[in-house]
This record gives sequence, structure tokens and C-alpha cells, in this order.
Amino acid sequence: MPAPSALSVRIRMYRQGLGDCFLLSFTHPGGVYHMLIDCGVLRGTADAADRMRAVVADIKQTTNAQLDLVVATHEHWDHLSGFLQARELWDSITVKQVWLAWTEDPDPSNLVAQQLRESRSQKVAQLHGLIGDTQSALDESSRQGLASILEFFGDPPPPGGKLTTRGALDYITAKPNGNVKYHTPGEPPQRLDGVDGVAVYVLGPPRDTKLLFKDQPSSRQSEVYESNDALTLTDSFFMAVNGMGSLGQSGVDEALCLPFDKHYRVDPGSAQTNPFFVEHYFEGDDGWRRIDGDWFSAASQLALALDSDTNNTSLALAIELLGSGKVLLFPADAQVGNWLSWQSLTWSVPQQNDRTREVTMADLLNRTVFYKVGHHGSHNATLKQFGLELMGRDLVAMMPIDQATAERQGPKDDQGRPRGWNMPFPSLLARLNEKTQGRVIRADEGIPARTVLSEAEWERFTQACAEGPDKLYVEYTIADV
Amino acid sequence: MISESMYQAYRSDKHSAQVSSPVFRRLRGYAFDPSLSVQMETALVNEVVFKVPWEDDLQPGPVGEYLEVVDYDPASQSFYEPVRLDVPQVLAQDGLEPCEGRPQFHQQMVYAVAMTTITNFERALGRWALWSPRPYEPHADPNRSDYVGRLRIYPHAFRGANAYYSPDKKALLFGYFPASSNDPGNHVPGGTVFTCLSHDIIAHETTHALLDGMHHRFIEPTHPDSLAFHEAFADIVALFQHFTFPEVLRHQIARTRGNLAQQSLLGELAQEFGRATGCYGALRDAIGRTDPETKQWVPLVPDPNAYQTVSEPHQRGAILVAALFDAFLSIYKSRVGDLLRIATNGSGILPAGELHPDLVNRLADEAAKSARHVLHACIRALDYCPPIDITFGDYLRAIITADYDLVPDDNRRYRVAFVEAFRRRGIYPEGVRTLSVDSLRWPQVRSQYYTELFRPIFENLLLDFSNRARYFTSRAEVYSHTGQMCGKLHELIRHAIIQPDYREKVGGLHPLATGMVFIAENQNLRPGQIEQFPRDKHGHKDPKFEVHALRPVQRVGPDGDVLNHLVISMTQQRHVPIGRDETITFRGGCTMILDLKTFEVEYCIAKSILDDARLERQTNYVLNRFGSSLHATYFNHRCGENIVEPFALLHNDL
Repeated sequence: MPAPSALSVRIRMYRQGLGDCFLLSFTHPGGVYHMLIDCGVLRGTADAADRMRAVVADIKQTTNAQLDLVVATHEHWDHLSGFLQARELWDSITVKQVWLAWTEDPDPSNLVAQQLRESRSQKVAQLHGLIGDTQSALDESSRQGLASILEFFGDPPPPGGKLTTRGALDYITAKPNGNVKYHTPGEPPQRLDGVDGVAVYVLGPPRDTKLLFKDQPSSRQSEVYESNDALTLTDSFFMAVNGMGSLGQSGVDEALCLPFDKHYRVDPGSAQTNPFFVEHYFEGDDGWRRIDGDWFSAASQLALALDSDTNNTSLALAIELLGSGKVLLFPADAQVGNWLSWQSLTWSVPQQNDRTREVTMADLLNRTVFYKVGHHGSHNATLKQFGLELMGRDLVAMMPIDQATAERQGPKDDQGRPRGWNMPFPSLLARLNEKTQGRVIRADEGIPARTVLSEAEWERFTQACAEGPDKLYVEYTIADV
Repeated sequence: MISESMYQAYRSDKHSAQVSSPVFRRLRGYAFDPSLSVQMETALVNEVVFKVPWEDDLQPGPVGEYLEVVDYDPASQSFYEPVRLDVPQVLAQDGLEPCEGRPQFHQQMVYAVAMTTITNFERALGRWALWSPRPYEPHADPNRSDYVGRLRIYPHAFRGANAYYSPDKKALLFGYFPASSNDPGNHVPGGTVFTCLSHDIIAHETTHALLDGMHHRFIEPTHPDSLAFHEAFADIVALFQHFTFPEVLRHQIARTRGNLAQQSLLGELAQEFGRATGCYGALRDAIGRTDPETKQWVPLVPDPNAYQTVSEPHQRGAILVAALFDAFLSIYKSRVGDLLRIATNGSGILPAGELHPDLVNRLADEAAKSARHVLHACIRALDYCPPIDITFGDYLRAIITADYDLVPDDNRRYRVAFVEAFRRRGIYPEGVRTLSVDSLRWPQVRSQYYTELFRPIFENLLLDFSNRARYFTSRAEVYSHTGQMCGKLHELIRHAIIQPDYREKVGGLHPLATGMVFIAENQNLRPGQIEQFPRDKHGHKDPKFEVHALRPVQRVGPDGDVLNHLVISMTQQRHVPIGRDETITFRGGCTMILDLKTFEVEYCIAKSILDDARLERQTNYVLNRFGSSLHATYFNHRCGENIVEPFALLHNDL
């Protein structure tokens, strides 16, 4: 029978706005181990840099400027911005180790990761190019919608802006002097240096590209991208965006740009003097049936696919407290495909007595007592059947959401009001409240008010919670018992 | 002696042959899509000649009575010259030769398939098809509408694996895209796939437009079934159109040895599109699917729970499609039972090997006939649907009732086949006690109220209408005349309910009967509810209502019975607050079917505007419907707000 463990973990959720920043402090017999998961806030948040500086100042103070581990889950601004916005403070903090997902691995042998990053930055640049081009027929509402999705990648890429997600990742990766680990699901559970009694399971991002991507890259074998000239839909679309202006110039491959042989083409100039097109397109009916800008709607699809694919590269972690078997789930912004891939995971964990212990994902979910709600409470980032429904009875959830900010996002409706993002998703929030019996801690609302739990149980819960000054953070402590 | 002028007259006289216009214009095209033309097995049957109704003054485009094809590809900054189908060289060889690389053939293909679809639709309906009207601009008078004579078709509207009907533009937009290199099917990886060359996709999108022209409110997503119904109906029309190609039908009957429950081209939709987007098989299949792992085709087993659990519109629609195809298979089987027995000396068990060509022909005839009957039943049922908030259950009842009216003696048990197929998939209409054909039929109205209330109004209305309806010479005339009649009916009802004695009667009329509240002091209203109804612009205190459509129906049944009905649909809206500052537009209304021989209301198919359960269901649905997609998260839509391009959204994954 093991001795009662003296281990506990305090989860501090910063309340900087719509974005993730979690400081986990493991108190163990040998001291305190500080682990930071992400540090960012959505672009366009008021006083974003000031808020992030306040957050990082608190991190610095709490950890004595010594972070044992920083996890950067994926390349989105609302998870990384703080590394750049509070750079001066970060310069004075020591980071011993950094964890990233395998998809960020710069090793040239990791082809998929390489091409994934290249294609990502290329698409970001192309989409920025599209919304920046004021000559294009893109309508205002689509432009706003696109722009607001692209906020997730920070400034437009250089030379336009300096504060990009890539830059933030590069900064934090350089901090621990090479002590950077790239994690792949299925690898043996990780230990935290110097801490006994904690195992960290890597759940995602999946290796299977089918589960990783919504926007299927042009790969014939599942592991490797094709580098030949097979055109993808994205290519075809951007070829149209970028290439048409240069038609007729030498070096532009017309065959790839145009769906038909060029002698079938009537250019817009000639069409305006062609009686058929004048009658049936240009002048026929005051323009209500024209389609000049409709084809851009594909851009929002591409942007969504890009966003979803990036979310899906989230490094998803389950942290097990070995004494009690309690599990803390941090899926970052993993989308459905990432969640689905966990189902097949199992681990053989060596025990002290030379035996091994089989751990399955269902098992981990069953023992989950803490859930960091994925993707700010959007609908498609929390799996139902093989996810929330399996989680334990004593569940507490933290949701890094700022609903007021979410409501200001998105394209505007006909009355000029922003449509808002649907975060948190109402029925998900309702189910979370049922599962946790009211113990959903939201970044924008802090410690919740009692609903269904008995007063005694609520007392127990609130005693484990605390709020920081000036709504800086809210925290919850879990003992390994 | 023949003078020069006589020669000239002789040469210029186009009508010297004294031949009247042809009935059909013959146009070559693909029965399915280009991918089947590069497979030995199907190449021969894939190229068919569409026989579309002859249009005398068909313009380049083609631009005709119903359609105008305008080939502009904004992504490529290219226009393509319109095809001229009346050029002798084109006429003499049944149109242009099928060719993927020539935009003019694409124009011909969309025209041919869309016209075929329209013709089949009109044949079943027994009247001209009209496109849904365009809301009148400027906003000063939102109740008036503009007549839309032609549906616009853009064969190369955008780059994307999608095609859709745009209710705002009254246009079909077809996309093109590079084939996925995962499983390019019969394509060069990255080769271009044109959605406007797929028979199934063209027929599907055209049907969306036809359905919208008949039931404009069906595009409002008020129930999980609403958009699913739109999709399913469009699929049904595309599917059953396969059975109108005799060569294809004979070929597939021979291949499946008469067993249409096997995998066949007939039950599959959009093969090329499906494969090119990486689905491994057809985009949709009414009777089975290709397992993505094993790549083997497996028949679909009806799942009685599917209707309760599936919510994505296409998948949900597939349940309805499968049910109707199932009904078709039962009917076909019962029709060919005797043939198979005759061919096999009574055993009914076919010997191994190929079927006798005569037997194939006879089976093909029966398959074509069964398909036509089912399709016509499906289309006729549209007249018997409520004007708003349709469910699959309502549709089953509409099919049964429509069929009952036209074919009272169901000696082939068609109606049982429909009911059984729906039951197997767990689709039960609400408020029906048993699933017998009798209880599924809409209840007939035998109420004094209707007679007293509506008969004088209808008699007044129809003094000149029904007679004139037979002599319309153009669709525009039908449109403007029915529009006037709708206005007149509205006025007559409005006028009647101001009369005190009449008002008293109407006040007692339960909204369950007509689905609507006609007067402010209706006894069934709860306090505060009357405030939720918009009022008439004339300053009446009574709730506003709308006479949506008037449709004369004349049909002849197989026994020579003549049906002479008038279908009237009326609707009304209520703005119900939900949540903090949002309101939901909740509609009620009815479809009344009037027998023009007796002036009696036969059926009144109503959805009550005071139905709290329905309101709650709609509220829940509207709040959660966009839930499952990332698109929903970032492009949040407010409830009741009109969505730009609802079908474009539907046809995409994200």
C-alpha cells in the first residue's frame, strides 16, 4: 500500500481574454514544478500587450522566473501571442524545457511536418494577399469573415508585420538551449523532471493524415506529400486569385490557369462589346444575377479548413496523478479528427514490481477529473460519445473564453452588427454544466455560483478554488488523493 | 419560263416543305457523367440523346422559355461564346458531340438535362412550372414580386467541388475543380472535373429550383427535415430520371439480371464527383454504399433509428431517398413477378447466364413504368404538402392522399409499398394512430364551418378564374393572373371577416383548422400573443396573413377519372421572442384543396400558428442547427436571419 501522496497540482487559468494560458504548479516533496501550457490572447483584444505583460509578470513572480516546462500546443495567435507581446519579461525568465507537437519538428527527415508548415504559411500569405487586394471583387462581408479567421495567425506575414505566430514559436523554441522535445501520440508516458508520481500521456496530433486534415493535401500515400504538379483545389483557387492578372505574360502557364484551351476564351474587355453578354450579363437585368464575386466564397472555405487543420495539430495531453489515478485533460484546440485518433491509443506502463500496467484512452477519460474545454467552448472541439460523456463523476472544467469578445467577431450582418462567434456553444455549455454539476469555471466569469450540488460539496469545491487580484486569474487545486 | 424573282422566292422560302415544328430537339450528352465514357463497360450506354421539347425561337446561349445559359467564369476572367443550337450543322448531328474540352458542349449539356428535368416535372404536375418570384425591389413595397421567366445557369461559376441553386439570384451555379489525387477514379490526378457535365448534379440542382418555385417557404430551415427534404427531393428526381434512358436501363437490367436491388448505375448518384472528391464510390447511393476500407459495395440495411439520430441534411435526406427507392423496388418486384414466372416455367428462378433480350426488354419496360409511377406520385404529392415546415411524415401523408385521389382503386398496392418503406426507416407522421393507408390519408374536411365560411368566398373568387385558367397561353400570363387572384382572395377574406356575423363565426374557428388566426379577438389566443402578430399595412387590428399561392390542378387518373382541384395556400407569421434580444419568426398556415366540381373544401392541411410544441421544437432546432460545423462557429447566423446561399453551405463539408 503506497503512502498517502503529498502531491498536488494547482491549475491557474489566466483571464486575459479569448486565449489560452495555464500555469500548472505541481507541489511535491522535492519542491514545486512549474509547467506553462500556452500563453496567448486573440488578436484585436483591447490592450492585448498590457494584459499579456500582466499575465507574464505574474508567471515570473509565481515561478521565481524559473519555468520547468513550457508547452506550446499549436501555431495560433490566441495560444502564443504572449511570448512576443511580453518579450522583455520573457527574456528574464528561464525556461528549462519546451514541448511541441511532432508537426513542428524541424528535422528534415520529418517530411510531413515540413510540408505541413510550408503549406500553412503559404496559405496564410495567400489569404492575406487576397484580403489585402482592394481591387478584387471580394465583398466586404467575406473580407471581414476571412480577416477574422486570419487573426489566429497574428500579423500579416513579413514584410507586412512583425508579430506572427511563426515568430512566437521560434522565440519560445530558442529559449531552453536546445532542450526541446517533439511529441508523438503513443510514445511512452512522459515524466516531469524531478517529480515522482506524475505521468503525461501524449494523445495528439495524430500521425494519420486522414484524421489530421480536413483540407486533404495532395497525398497519394498517407504519409508523404506529393511534390509533383498535381493541382489541389487550393492551388487552383489561388492560381485564379494571383495568376489571372498576369495572363499573357511570358512564363505564366496558361494551361494550368484556364479550364479550357485559350482560343475558347473571350476576355472581359471583348465580352463587354459582345451583344450576347451585353444583353444577358452586363445590361440585361440591373446586375442582381451577376456572379462576379461569388467564387470568392471558396476562400472562406479554405480559411476554415486552414484554421481547422491548424487546430488539429494541437498537442493534446492527459496528465495522470499516479497516487490517486486522477487525470487532467488538456486537449488544446483539438478538433474532431484529433479526438477520434485517441481512441486507438494504449500504453504499457512499467510498474515497480516488473509488471506493466495497460492504460487505454477510455480508461484515462473515465478517470478525468479536470477538463480544459477545447477551443474556447466551440462545438466541434469536444467529442461527445468518446469524450465528454466518458469523463468522470467528479469533473471540473475550465473554459478559456471571453464571450463578450467572441460576440464582437465575425462578419457583420445587414444591420452592421457583428454576427459573433458561436462560443461557447450553448448546448455544449449546458451539457458541461450537467456533467460537472455546475463546476464550469469560465475565464470571463470566474468561480461560478452553486446550482445543483449540495452546500457541503460546493464548499469543498470552492475551497479548492481561488481568484487572483484584478481578475488576473482563477485557479483550482487538485490533491493526489 | 422561270423568272429570276421566282428563283429567289424559291431559294428563300424556308417553309416550302410545309413541315410543322418538330416535337423534340435531339441533343447528345452524357447519361451520367464523362467518367463512364472511359470505361469499356459503360461507354456505349453513357452517351445518350436527350429529347427535349422543341423551342421555336431558341436563342444562342441557349436562351429559351425556361432557361438562360450564360457562360461566364469569373475566376478565370473568361467568357465563353454561347452555343447556337439552331445552326443546321448542329441540328443535323443531334447537337455538339460530347466533349469535355469544349465549353459550348457544356452549355448544351446543362440545357438538355435541365430541360429534361423540367419536362418530367411538368408532366407529373399537369401544369407549367414557374420559378420562384424575385422579392420586389425597392424595399418600399416588399410584398410585390417580380416574375422570373428564366432560370439562369452558369456552367462554370466558380472553382470548387460544389454546385448550388441560388434562391437570391434564381440561378444555378456549377463549379469545377481538380480531381483529388487520393483516388482519382478514372481521372488524371488533378485533372479537371466539371460538375456541369454530371446529369445527376444538373438534375438535382434544377429540381431545387423547381421545388423552390412551388414551395418558397421550404428553404426556411424550421425543422431537421426542411433542408433534408429539399435535398432528398432533388435526389429522387435525379435518380428516377435514370430510368428514362432506355439503353441505360436495358444495359443495367441485363447486367443485374433484373435484380435492381443489386449495385447498379441506376441507384447511384454522381459517380465522378464522388470519386474525384475522394469518396471511393458514388457521392450517394440509394441502396448501398462502398466501404471505404475494403472498397467493396455493401447493400444498405434500413436502420429504424436513423431518422431519430441523423441530422446532417444530406444524410438525413438519404433516409427519405432510400425509403422511396425501396418503395419503387417493391413495386417493381411485384410487377415483374409474373414475367419471371412465365420466363422460367413457373419456378421464378432464373437460370445462370445472360437473360433473353426479350425478357430484358420487358423487364426494362416494367422498371421504367414503376419508376415513372413512383416519381409522379412523389411530384404530385407536392400539391398536398403544408406550405411551411414540412416533415418526412407530412410528405408520406401527402403521397398517400395524392395517390388516393387520383387512383382510388389501389389494386397494385402501391400505397402499401410506400407505407412499408417509410415504416422500415422509422419515419412516422405525428398524430397518426396507426400506419394504415386510411389513417395516413389527410383527414377530409366535412365541417359546416368551412362550407359556411369559405364557400361564398370561393364562389365569388372563381366566377371567372377557373374558366380562364384553361386558356392561358404563356407562363407569364399564368403568373400574373394567379397573382391577381391571390390578391382578390386576400381581399375577399379581409372583407368578409369585418362583417359582424361572419366575425363571430371566425372567432370560434380553432387555428388548428386553418393553422391561422384571422381576427384579433380569436378565443384561442393567450394574453399577449396577439402582439406578436404583424398587422396589415391598412391599419386593421387583425393579424396579417398572406395568400401564398393558387394552383389549378387538372389530372386524369388511370381509370379515366378526372380530378379538377384548386390548391390554395395561405400563411401567416408571428414574431416570438426567445432569449434576450432575439425573436424567431414562427409561421402557420394551410394548404386547402378545393374541389372545383362541388366548391367544397376537400382537405385543409394545416400547421397551426399557435402550436406550442411545434414552436418549441423549431426554437431548439434554430438555436442548434449550425452546431456541427466550424463554419457555424465563425460565421454565426442569427435565428430567422436570411442566409446567403443556403444551398451552397449545404453542399460543403465545413
